This record gives sequence, structure tokens and C-alpha cells, in this order.
Amino acid sequence: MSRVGSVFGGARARLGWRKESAEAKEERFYRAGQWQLVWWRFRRHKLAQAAAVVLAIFYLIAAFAEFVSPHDPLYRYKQFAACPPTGIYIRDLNGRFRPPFVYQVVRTRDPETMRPIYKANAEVTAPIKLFVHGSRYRLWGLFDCDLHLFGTEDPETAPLFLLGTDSVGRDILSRIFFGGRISLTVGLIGVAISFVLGLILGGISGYFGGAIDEVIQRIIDVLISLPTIPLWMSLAAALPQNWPQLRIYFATTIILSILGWTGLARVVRGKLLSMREEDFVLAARLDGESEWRIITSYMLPGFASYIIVSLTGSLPGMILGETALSFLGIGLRPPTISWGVMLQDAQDIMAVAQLPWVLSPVVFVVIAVLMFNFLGDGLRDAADPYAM
Amino acid sequence: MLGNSALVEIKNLRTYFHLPEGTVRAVDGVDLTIRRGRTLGIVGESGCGKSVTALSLLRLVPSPGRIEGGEILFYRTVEEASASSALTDVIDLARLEPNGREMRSIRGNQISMVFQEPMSALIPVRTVGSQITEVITLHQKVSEAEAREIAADMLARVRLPKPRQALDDYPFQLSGGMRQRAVIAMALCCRPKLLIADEPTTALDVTTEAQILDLMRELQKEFGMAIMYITHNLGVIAEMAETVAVMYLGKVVELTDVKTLFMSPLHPYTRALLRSIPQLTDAVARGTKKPRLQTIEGMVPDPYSVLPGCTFHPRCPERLPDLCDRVEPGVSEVAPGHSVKCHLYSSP
Amino acid sequence: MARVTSNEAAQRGRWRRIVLRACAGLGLLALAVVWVGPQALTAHLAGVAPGWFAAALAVAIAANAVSAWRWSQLARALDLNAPYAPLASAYAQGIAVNAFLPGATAGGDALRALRLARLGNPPMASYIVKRIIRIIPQIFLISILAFIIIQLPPGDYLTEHLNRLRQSGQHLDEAEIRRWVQMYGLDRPMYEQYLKWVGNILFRLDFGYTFQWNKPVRDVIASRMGYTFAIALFSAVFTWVVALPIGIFVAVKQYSIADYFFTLLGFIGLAVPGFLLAMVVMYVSYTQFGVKVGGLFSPEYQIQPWSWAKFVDLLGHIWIPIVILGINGTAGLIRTMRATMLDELRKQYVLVARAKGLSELKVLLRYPVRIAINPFISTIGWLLPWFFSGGTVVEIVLNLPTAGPALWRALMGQDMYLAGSYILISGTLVAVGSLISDILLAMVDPRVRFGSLEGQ
Repeated sequence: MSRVGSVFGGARARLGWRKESAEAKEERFYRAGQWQLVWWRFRRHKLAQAAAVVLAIFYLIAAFAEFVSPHDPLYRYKQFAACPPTGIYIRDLNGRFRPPFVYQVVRTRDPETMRPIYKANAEVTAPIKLFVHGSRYRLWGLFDCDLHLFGTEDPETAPLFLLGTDSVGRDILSRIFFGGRISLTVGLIGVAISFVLGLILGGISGYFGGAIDEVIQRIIDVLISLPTIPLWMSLAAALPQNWPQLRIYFATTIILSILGWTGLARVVRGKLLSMREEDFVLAARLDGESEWRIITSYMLPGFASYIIVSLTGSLPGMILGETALSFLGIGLRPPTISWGVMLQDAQDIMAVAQLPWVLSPVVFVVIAVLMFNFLGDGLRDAADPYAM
Repeated sequence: MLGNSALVEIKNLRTYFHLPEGTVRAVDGVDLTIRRGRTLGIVGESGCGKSVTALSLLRLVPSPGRIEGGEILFYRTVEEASASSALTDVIDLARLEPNGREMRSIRGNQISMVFQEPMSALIPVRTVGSQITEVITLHQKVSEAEAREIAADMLARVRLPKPRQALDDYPFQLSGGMRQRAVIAMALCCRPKLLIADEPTTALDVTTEAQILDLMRELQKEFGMAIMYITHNLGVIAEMAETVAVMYLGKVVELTDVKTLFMSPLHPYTRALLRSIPQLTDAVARGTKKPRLQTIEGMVPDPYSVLPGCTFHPRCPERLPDLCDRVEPGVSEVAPGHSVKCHLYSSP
Repeated sequence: MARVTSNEAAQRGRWRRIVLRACAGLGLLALAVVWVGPQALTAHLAGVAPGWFAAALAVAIAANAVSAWRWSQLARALDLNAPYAPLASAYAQGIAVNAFLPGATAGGDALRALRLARLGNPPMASYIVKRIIRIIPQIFLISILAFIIIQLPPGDYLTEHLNRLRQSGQHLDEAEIRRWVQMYGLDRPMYEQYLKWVGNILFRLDFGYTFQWNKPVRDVIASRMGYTFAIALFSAVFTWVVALPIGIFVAVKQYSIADYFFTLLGFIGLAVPGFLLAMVVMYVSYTQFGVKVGGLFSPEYQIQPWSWAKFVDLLGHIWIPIVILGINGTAGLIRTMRATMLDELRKQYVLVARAKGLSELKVLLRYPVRIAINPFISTIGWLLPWFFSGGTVVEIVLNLPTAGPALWRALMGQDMYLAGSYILISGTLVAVGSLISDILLAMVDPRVRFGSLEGQ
């Protein structure tokens, strides 16, 4: 740092805590616990906060997919196959403003290509209502219900397909909501597995050192040097085709996390190695604390924030991995709904040209990944509260 | 030759930093004169603007800092190819383009600078030699090989052992003192008229510090250059400087020769500074309990605020009520070559 | 007196070594003759024109001499003690080692580096040797992993394949089946199968047989390697050319509009995986311009022999995968570059360099960029293998005649030999790539080769 920079940097840093009553604030800073500091710093990251909100909405939608989605994701509206997104109107033919409504949809066929053409029938309108009764479902397998957050009264004649339907007439938006349930949790479960593996192996490596450390480090070396995508592809392809959906889902998450733990293990090991030498650990040992207590209540809090950052960082990769594998037809398979599975419909460019709205899961994948990246960045900065 | 003539005259220099939190008046109306072949010392606490003054001189004030006003007159020597006579012309450095050709031809050539941390003054991935010859080939019409000769010669003069080998060494292969010698050699290899030394020995141990100080004085005599020596260390000032400027919050509060400074300091700030030096002799002589060091009361005020009156008045033990906190004192020359910026001495 | 004896002893020792070496050489030669069979050898030699043989020998020797000279120049440029004669002999030995270990030139390289180290070149050479020694167990473990992957699907794959053939009404005769079983040691225990598999790769470059393509794996991959590498290489070049200046620029102009723009673009670039980008590009170009992106050639050139027109056609197609793959790498590199540059710009030597009177461009290029370039140099090693394997999905989407899609099609049919070989090849590439970038890094950054990171 240049001299001048340090002089004014110091002054500026001092002043940052001096806005109101200077001393009180400074006092608060020094007394604040680690998590308090992390939270303060995180609060300064507006983008990361926004990302956290968006992600929370995504996960809420995934959790209540049955309720939030207007249609049954597996139900085929035969009369509305390959239907483009429904237009929503607030002004009728007479020029009067009304609450949002849709027109009845009538199907005809192009006389030459025999492709279906959908037209709005301006005579019949259907208002979009909140909390409408529609297809029946069991929420979380517990409650029987037919209430949907929004939709139209009679989906068989005047349906609301916000993102259109696929080639067999399933509502894409509903499928995206249900797909989020798989695509967004694959990462979470994968991260959980990485977390356990990384913590245990990294902990062993860092705490015991010596030959065990050497062996684990060499294994990590090799795993890191393995190319991710081909390895995932090979492992996914080795899954027996006749396994049930749930088992394939879990197997896929395990495959995705097979490389993910290495990074965390490195972080944990490095931190443990450096912390073993810290004075406060020595002090705890002199106080006669047990080894277990030293690890759990002295060392672990010291790098818990790094662990969280490392985990958030590996989530987007897993979401993308699932999407890629399912897209290629070697991950999850229909009738499981995930964003990757939905994109299988987009493999043929001719089909996409006819039904461009089947690409809409792309937008959700990108938003989810982008938000995780923003969140990860904000957390990374916040994780080191003392690095002013 | 021109023993007492001015080399650099700084007139009413103001360098401000416009930060989002407010404007920092790092240098606020400084007048200084550096004479040829002489040493001007600048003392003050960190943040008093002494480094920014030096950087303003070289036009290296980092963004968002800007020179807001004032003049930096440099009495440049234009060597004429044919005659041995040298012409002097005056140039206002404050008006030059900071990164323009003219300013760059002065930097590192006629005015060069040695910085505080020898550890980071050299980039670790290039050899010491390549970093030194770079300056030489930039300012002199010599070949790479000749530049290497000059560099080796200069390294020998700063008494670096095995200078030729050191040219091919990387900075991390040298010790801190060696590195600072190399940095000084780098600054001197174009025979500058002015060497700005910004706390060049702060990061070094005391023995090395003494050696480096000796070396600088010796080279000064040899090359006849002026030195602007910046430090917060009054002991070093006593050893190095002939004239001393005491700075406080971007202003020169007292300017005098080194002897007067230590014998009869006038400004309350200077006196407070001198009181805060540990006096080994006193303690030993009394043989009793060490007297407590006196500190200057209060803190350096917030750099963003503009204080009315004298900037030192909140901490001044001798402040005059209703005057010091309202009216900014002018500079009064109490004796030839001794001026002070304080109401206590202002002529009525 | 004592001195003379020691001298004599040294002399005797030297002679003994020469004799021993000659014996060992003759023994090896004899072994080779027995291995090949004397008749076969004489029959083979009888068909050789002596003139051509002499010419070939001369070319080989000359090539060795020139290569050794180039090597010694390189070593000298790195300030290594590198007299020509020992280097020439080391080079020849390296070539000999490589001849026995086809496909893995690491052996020869290791030998050469070892010889260089023996010449008393501590920092660089010993660094390289250490680094090469570390790579060997790494590749060994990768090969085990690849083999495990091959064995993963339940049931051995030959039976599976035979079943499939039978279902489709085809038939394989008994002798053929027995040949397969023997070739891959399918009736042997697992470790023997592994040894056979590795042995086949090391000595015959035989990676196994893919039933999906009905060809040896080697042929499938080899025919696609050219395009794969071309695309990977140019994507890497694209990445560097774009990321380097932008990274420097946004660091120098921190918090400017350009900085925010490229930061945002970088975030999006990181979030949009290549294959989704490829899909969008395909869709846009098809609907907006009526161009069907995909493949490397227009249909009319697909099976034609090479010609200028075909080459131009290739250029018209190849830039799309290059750009799509490149954009992903670019986003990450710009961020790394910006971060390191910002760190370096704060260092004091930048101010010192300015105080020297250097122009701003020279200050940037000679100081902060010299250090910020290091992450780029690291990418030289891993970017190539990364594009090689990471581009797989993009290549599938774009339907390119590269290795990735071949792997995919094989995987769809659970053809694990191809998968295992692919993992082995790309894993080895990554390992060798990181070796290369470490060595390059040691060359540009003296701190690495002196094993010191102080003063950073």
C-alpha cells in the first residue's frame, strides 16, 4: 500500500465507524461477536441481499409448487399442445379497463403445414383469479387440496399458460415450478454430502497430519485433476436404467458431490493447520480443555464462515451439472421433472424454432446460478469481518 | 558553486483529496524553499501532509488527490551540449501535465525519490539490475551494456557487496538494508539535483539506519545534490537536516535551521513534539525513576473537518481564548530564517 | 602417494562403469532380438535398402543433435549450466525411454530433467524434477479410477455386448469371442485385467474397443482429436486475447462505467453455462438469420476431401464453438486479472516505477502486469484440458465432430471402455497441463523456483 493510501485509508476506516457517536460505535465494533460482524458486513452488500431474497422466493415456490403452479405439471391438455404463452389483458374490446383476464383459446390448423394455430376468441373472456379451485393434489403427501394461487376457472377452454405448453400440452410454468423442486435441491443435498465428506476428511487430514494427511492430499490432488463433466457423464451413464426415480435422483446428487468435497477439505485442513499454532488454542490447551472442546468450540467457529462461503460457491456448479446431465439424457429422466429434463425438449433446433418458449427453463437456471454467485460474493466479503 | 541559490520554491501549495466522505486538505498552503546542495527536513506526525507534499512535487499525488493551487518552481539546469556552462530556467511543476513527457523527463532524472519500505519498492519478479538500468536507459542515451556498467558502479558506491552479482539477484535475495542501498542507487544513478527521501530508514534496524544515513550524507557531498528528508523521527532530523520545516495538518507551522529548532523552538506544537522524545541523558543523570514522557494532549482531529482559526488550537496548551479558535495566524519571521505560524509571535 | 591411488581407483571405477554399460547394452539388445525373433529380424532387415537405412540413421542422429542444441540453448537462456555434450547424450536417452513408453513422454522428460539437475542446476531443474516425480503417482491413481469406472456397470461389458448383438440378430463366432476374452483378460482376476488394460495402453496405445462405434477406441478418439484440440486451443487463445486487456483496463479504471459493465458481463458469463449459450445462439441464428448453426462443415463439404473451399467453410463454422467456449473462460479470467491487478496496483513498486519517469503504459506492463500475468500462465496448463473436457456439452449441442459427442454416444449405450479411456486421457492431460503451467510459472516467477514467497 502506498504511504498516502495508508494514511488516508486509515483515516477513512476510522471514520467509517464514527458517523454518529464515534466512541460508542467503535466500542460496539470491538465488542460485537463474529456473527454480528458478518451480518453487518453482509448488510452492506445490497446485491447479495437482493439475491438472497430472490433465492428465498425460488425455494418457497419449490416447496409449495403444488399450490403456486396453476396446473398439474403432468396433465396433458391435448387440445392445447404446443400452445404459445397466453396473453393477459386488462382492457377489453370496448376499451374498458378490467381486472386482468384472458380470452378463450380456439385451436385451428394451418391448412398447409397442419400445425395447430391458436387464436383468441374475443367473445368469451375469463378473469384471472387468486385462490381458484383446480386440479386436486396432496401437498407434501399430507393435505388433500385443490386450491391454486392463481389461474382461471375453466382451464379446459380458457386456460392460463403464462409460458405456453410443450409439444404434448403440459403447462411449462407449472413444470418449471415443480422442476425447481428437483433442480434446486440437487445442489443442496450435494452440498450437504460435500460438507460432511469435506469436514471429516479435511478435519482428519489437518488435525492428524503425517501419513494420513499425505494420503488424503494425494487423493484430493487426483480428484481435482479429474475433468468434471466427463467424469460426471461416465458415472451417470453407469447408473442402471431401470432404477426408480428417487434412487436415480440420490445417485445423481452423490455423483455431483463426488468432486465437490475436495475444495472444502482443503479449506478445513489449511485452517486447522494454521489454527493449531494459534495462541488461543495453546491457551485453551493450557486451561485443560479437552481436544474435542478445543476443536468444536475454539477452532470450528473460527472458520465456520469460510465453510459457508465454500459451500455457497459450489452450489451453482451442482445446479448446472444436474441441468447438463439431465439435458444430455444421462442424469434424471422423465417422468421426473427438472429444469434439465425440460430442456431435453430443446435439443432439436427445429423444435425450438417452432416452440421457442420451451427454452424458458434456461432463464430460471441462469437466474438461480446468478443469484447464488451474487450471494456467494457477498458472503465471501462478509466472512472476513476483521479484514478492514 | 551556486551554494545558496534556490532549487525548488514551493509557494502556497494546496493539495486536496476529494473523497465521498468529504475533502481532505492534505497540503493546505505550504511555502518551502529547497536550496541547492542543502538538506531540508520535514517533520510531523503521520497524516500531517509531509508525504503528500513530496508526491505533489513529483506530480505523483494518487487519485482522487489534486493540486488545487499554488506553484512549485523548479530552477532547472539545462545542460548545453557544447559548452560547459549551464543555463538555468524556471519551470512551474504544478502546471505540468502529471504524466506528460516533460514531467516524466524530470522524474527519476533531476528529481528522484526514495520511499519508506525497501521491501516493496522493488518488484520481486525482476532482477535488481533490470530495475536499475531501466531508469538509466530511460533518461540517458546509453546502451544496455553501458547502463549496466553505470548501475554496477552506482551499486559499488552505495557499498553493496559484490555489486556485479547483485545486478542479477532478485530483490528477495537481498536483506532489507541491502535493498534500501539498491533503491538509493536506483534513485541516484541519473545524478539528480534533488533527492526526496520519504522516511527511507523507518523499516530498518537502528544500525542499518545509521549506515544508510551516513551513506546519504556522503553521497550528497559527492554529487552536490539537495535532499528533502521527510521523517517523523526528530533524532534523524537532527542528524540529517540543515533547515527544518515542522508540519501540522497540511500546514508548515515552524521553519528554521536545525540548531534553533532544538535549542529554542517557538511554536507550541514543536515544543510539544520535542517534549515527547525520550531523553536518555536526563534519566541516567537523575538516576531515579524515569520521568513520564509527555504526550500531546488530544487526538489529530478528523481530517475532513475544516477548523476555524489555528488548526492546532484544540490541542494547544497555550491557546489564546477568542483568538486562536477564530483567526488563522499568519506567518511571522521572528528572526532571519526563523518563521513561525502562531498568534503568540505575531507582530501586532 | 595416496593421491595417486585414489586417482587410479577413479580410473578403474570409470572403466568398470564403461564395461558394465556395454554389457547391459548388449544384453538389452540380445533381449530385444530374442523378443522379436532372429528370423523375423533378418527377414525384416533383408528388405531394407542400405542406402535409405544409412540416410534414416543420419537424419535421426542429426535430429537428435539439433534438438539437443535447441535444448541447451533453452537451458542457457534459463541461466542453467548446460554444456552441449552431456545434454546430447541425455537427449538421446530421453528419446530411447520415450520409445519404450509410447504415449507418455513424461518418462523421457523426467530422465532429461534429472540429467540436467545432475549438472548442478539447483533451483529450476530440481524444481522440475520434484514436480515430475509428483505427477507419476497422480497419473497412476487416475488410471485406477478410470478402470473402476469401466468396471462400474453391473455385468461385464462383453456379455452385455453379445446379448445386444444376439438381440439384433447378429452373431459373433466363438474364435472372435475367445480373442476378445484373451485380449482383455476378461477371464482373469481384476488386478490382472487392470494390468492388461494399462499394459495395452502403454505399449500398444490400445485403449480397448468400443462396440458402439465398432472400432478401437483409439481410432474413434484419434480421428476427432484434431478438431478437439484446434477448438480447445483457439478457445484458449480467444480467452487470453480478450481477458488480458479487459482485465488490465477494468482494474486501472476501477469503479468506472466500463468496470461495472464488464463486472456485470463477467457475472453473467459465469452464470450462463456454455451449452445454454450455445442453444440460445443456435435459436437466434436459426430464426433471425435462417442459418443452421452446428457441425464444423456445411453438408456439402461433410465428406469431401480437403480443399481450400472446405477450409473456408470450416472457418465459417469453427468460430462459433470457439467464441462460446471462450466466453465462459473469459469471464472468470477477467475477474482474476482484475483482482490481482488491483492488489498489485497498490504496491509501492508501482509508485517507485512512476517516480522513475516511466510512462504509464510502461509502468503497467513492466510492474503490476508482470505479477498479475501469473494466473494467466497457470491457465496455459489447465485451460487446454479444460476446454478439451469442459466443452463436451457444448460440442454435443453444436454437434461437432470432436471427442466429446463421441463419448456421449458411447455412454448412452453404456460403452464404458470409451468412457474410461476418455477419463484417463483428459485426466492425464490435466496432470501434464498443470505440470507445464507450474514449470512456466517457475520460469517467469523467480520466487517459485527459489522456493521463496517472501516479499510478495
